[in-house]
Amino acid sequence: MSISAALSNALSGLGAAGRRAEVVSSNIANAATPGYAPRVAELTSASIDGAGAGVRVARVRRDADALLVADRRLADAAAGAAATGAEALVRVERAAGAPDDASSLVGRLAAFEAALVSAAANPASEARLADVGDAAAAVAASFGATSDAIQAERARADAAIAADVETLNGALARVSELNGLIRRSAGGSRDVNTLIDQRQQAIDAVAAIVPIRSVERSDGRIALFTQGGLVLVDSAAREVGFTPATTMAPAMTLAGGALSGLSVDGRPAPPSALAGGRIGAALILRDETLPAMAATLDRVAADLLGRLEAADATLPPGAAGLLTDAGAALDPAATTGLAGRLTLNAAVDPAAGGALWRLRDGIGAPAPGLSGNAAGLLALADGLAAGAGIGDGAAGFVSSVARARIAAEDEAGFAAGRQAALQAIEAQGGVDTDAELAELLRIEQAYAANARVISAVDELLRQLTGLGR
Amino acid sequence: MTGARFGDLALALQTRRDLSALKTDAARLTGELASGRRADPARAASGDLGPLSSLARSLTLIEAHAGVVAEAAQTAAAMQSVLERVQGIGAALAPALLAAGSAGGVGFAAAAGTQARAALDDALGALNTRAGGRSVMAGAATDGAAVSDGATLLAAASAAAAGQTTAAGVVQAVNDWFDDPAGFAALGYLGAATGTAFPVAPGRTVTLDVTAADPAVSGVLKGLVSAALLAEGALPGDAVGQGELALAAGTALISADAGLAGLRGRVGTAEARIEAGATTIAAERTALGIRRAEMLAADDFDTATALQQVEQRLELLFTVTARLSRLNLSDFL
Repeated sequence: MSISAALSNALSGLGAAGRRAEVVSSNIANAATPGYAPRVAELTSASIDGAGAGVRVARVRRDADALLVADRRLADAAAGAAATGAEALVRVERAAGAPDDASSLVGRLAAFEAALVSAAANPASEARLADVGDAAAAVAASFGATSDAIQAERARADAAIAADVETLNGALARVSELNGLIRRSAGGSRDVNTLIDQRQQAIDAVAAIVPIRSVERSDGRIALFTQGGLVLVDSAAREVGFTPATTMAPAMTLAGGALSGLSVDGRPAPPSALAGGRIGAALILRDETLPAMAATLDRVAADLLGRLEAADATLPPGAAGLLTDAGAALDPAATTGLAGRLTLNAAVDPAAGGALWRLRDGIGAPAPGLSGNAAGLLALADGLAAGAGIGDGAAGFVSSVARARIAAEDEAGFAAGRQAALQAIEAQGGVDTDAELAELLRIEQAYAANARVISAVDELLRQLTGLGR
Repeated sequence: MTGARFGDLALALQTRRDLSALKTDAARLTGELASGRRADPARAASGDLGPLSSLARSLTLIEAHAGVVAEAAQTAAAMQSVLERVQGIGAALAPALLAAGSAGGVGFAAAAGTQARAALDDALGALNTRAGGRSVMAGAATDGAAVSDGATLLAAASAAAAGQTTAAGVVQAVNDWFDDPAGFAALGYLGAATGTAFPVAPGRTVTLDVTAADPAVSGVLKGLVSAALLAEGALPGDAVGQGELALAAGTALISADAGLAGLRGRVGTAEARIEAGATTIAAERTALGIRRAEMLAADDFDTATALQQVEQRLELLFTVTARLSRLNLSDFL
């Protein structure tokens, strides 16, 4: 029987070679597929009743480095988080403008001071008084635009959280579903590697949003935890809840209840539960970083209003100065959102029924005074420049935004660098077509050798049967 | 197999990343080279925009102050020229009055009076000069005339001097009317008591408070009005008295000259302060410009060198990428 054993050995070699060629072709076909880990056909010698019976492919292994993937996922989350902060702060900084730009917040304030100085040189000139009014209105508009930009970023962060939560829930459900498929298939002989690839992609989608740790169960399922220890997927997927706000205003806060926090399976979750990724970063932006910036801007606006009110001697107590809080005087106890409410006093705005001479003679002046009296205009200019000066306050705000932006950008650069390094290492472990082709050469050789054995056995059998002739 | 593998995507990923980094650098450097301005001044200043902000503010303000200085200089010069004209009018008329007074004839005095009447109108016209849209001798009331016209002045002075029968009495009555707060100050001078202030530099104002109501100016007007009363028929029929009046008016004009010179000196002092402001502004403007360049300007040489480096690295990367993409086993099998 040894000749037929030789034949079956050679046949098993041909089969194994075919199977290996299949694996190689699959690898080459998927060379550019994201999330695809190269397959390796593992050979083992087959035996029947302890006797050798050729070769067989024991299993097709998915050749991926789980630890590396876990690290790369954490880097994905960190990079996503850092990029979220940096992008938002860049936009806020752009709204406030570069200080050397005439249309920036600082530039507008300087132009306002310059307009006061120019008008003081010729207070009789209606054109110069109109310039002062226009410059003051431009300052108000600049504060408004910066305040709006901050609130727009808060709204954007809120919307981004909602979108991410939706993606997250979809990905978690998909992981859970694939978990079930893999568990059912693992017992049989079916190839679950494709399912694992798909699950890998779904987990990567989660990892970009929330930093996760995964634990592989013995039955092939994967459990996902956040770094805060919250279970996202185990026997079933959890449902993360978030209600996006329809509008955004400075007074709307998480603590005040106007903005939504996160919930898991309907129960409120602390913001720390999903911290570290894009959702966590967006929450920090919406509830901490941006409101702090808005508060700084409001303080500068309150300082400006206070200075203008103090510098106008004609104002009765409690009356609004040149710039107003939506028409009213400064209320030091209600400065939240003040920067967005600055308006030019209607008493000096001819378009609103006011008169330009009030810029010269004071808002509270009963009648036009001497046309050459610059005292009021000089008092306003001095009031703005007194002490540290309103320009310094605005510069402080712009600097705080710039510092936050630079820090966020540096962090984003660092996180992106780490992510890139890990992605590169992961990609190195991906499909190498040259290596696959080299493997294909070996398969060809093995196939040729086995085919040679079959032809030799055939020759032997032929000779055996030829004896009878 | 893991150790022997180098995934195809790794190289593509690396190339793409290097390429985008180099292109970002090239775009930033090209922008800096084209604009001559640093791409990110905030980063260059480590996020502290205070110095840059205060610099930008100073530059904006210095331009405004430069405009103010020019305007103040123009106003002071106009003031100076008004005073010069008034001084000239007084100085030109005084000899004629003195001559008429010494000649002692009725006709001479009347002729000198007519001359004085015209000179008064000239002087008042000069005091009502407007420069750059403002009435320069009217103090803070820059939108109106500084003094009323000659007829009004003479009518009031005539009324004040009515009943006087001696030259000394007429002169005294005219002087009293000028010095009376209800006299010239109320009826003749139409401007404001306060002057105009010019913020010539941050925290520094120059006040031009010389007005037509200044005693030195009214000193000249006193002489002119006294003499012009001759043309209005003061001291009728008293040829000697009229001669004395002409003489007294001429003397008053001569003595007023010194006061006017002093007043011009005051305006000159203000002009000097304005000029000092202009010099400060010019110097500061240059200094600020230099500091601004230090803070914002990108060094063209550095930028060009860096750009050249980036260009070379890009070319190398393209070459290597092209070579590597030709290197694969399938081409050799």
